[in-house]
Amino acid sequence: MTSLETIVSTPTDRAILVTREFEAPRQLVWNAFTDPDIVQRWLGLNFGGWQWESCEMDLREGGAWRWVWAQPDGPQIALSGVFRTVTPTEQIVMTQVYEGMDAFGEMVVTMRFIDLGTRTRLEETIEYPSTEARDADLQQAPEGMKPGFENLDRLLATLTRG
Amino acid sequence: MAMPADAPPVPSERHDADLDDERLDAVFTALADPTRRAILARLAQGEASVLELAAPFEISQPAVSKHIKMLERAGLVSRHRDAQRRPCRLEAGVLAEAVDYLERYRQHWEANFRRLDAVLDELRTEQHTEPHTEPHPGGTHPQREDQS
Repeated sequence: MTSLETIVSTPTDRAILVTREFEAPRQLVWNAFTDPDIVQRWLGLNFGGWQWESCEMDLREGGAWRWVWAQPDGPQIALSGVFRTVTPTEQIVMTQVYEGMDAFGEMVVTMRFIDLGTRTRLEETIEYPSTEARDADLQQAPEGMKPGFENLDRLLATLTRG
Repeated sequence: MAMPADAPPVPSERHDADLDDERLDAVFTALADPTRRAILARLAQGEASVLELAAPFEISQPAVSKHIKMLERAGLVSRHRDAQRRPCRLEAGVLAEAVDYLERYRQHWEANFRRLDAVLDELRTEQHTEPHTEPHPGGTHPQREDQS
């Protein structure tokens, strides 16, 4: 497997696992996920023209983080939480809430960065308080991003790998 | 690092038994298990009896039957009523619908990660050039491009 493909699976009935490899050493990938200036260069909502408003990350155990995106006319989307454990270059465990969307409750996000030499693998697990919350989050993926599955075999290959 | 992938949603509106959502929950639960995914992958190649489905697994046939029952409840698998051996059949439409959600979620992340690929490239270049950065004579700053 040489391609840098994002793989999404549902390892338990309350979790989503996102896996992706990056063509960069682990320290660099770690920086890209933890330095607010770099995070703002790539992380986005991918719809509706939301722009970064603020990006705060107090990267230490018990430290708070908060990301805010805004529309030019005022509306905001904010995510926030607390860093539970921070193991430099290796792992982050953090809580996460979608502010103003209580139905999703508090998630626990675990990001593992696995050193593959010139490459780094990210394994990100998002655990929801309930199956319903997880499925609701999956179902709100942007409608515009319809996949083009040519055939079921490819689709199942994706599943079986997960 | 997850995020709401769409405009502020209203998940609390789901309380009065939306059957579609409930079934989708069952589908995602069914897909969470590697044995059940393997059963679906086998059925994608054609119908099979419970015995045939159980053959490649270390686990007992009753355990496989249990997995198949879950897949049936989720609507992912159906079984012939009439035929003697009641072969199982994949309900591809139901599977495609569930995977559709996963795929859209995946593409949302893929869009972010492709931007990250580009940023990582830039960071690597910056790292390599950093020791050599000297003030440019003439006051031009060619390597600094702030595009917002």
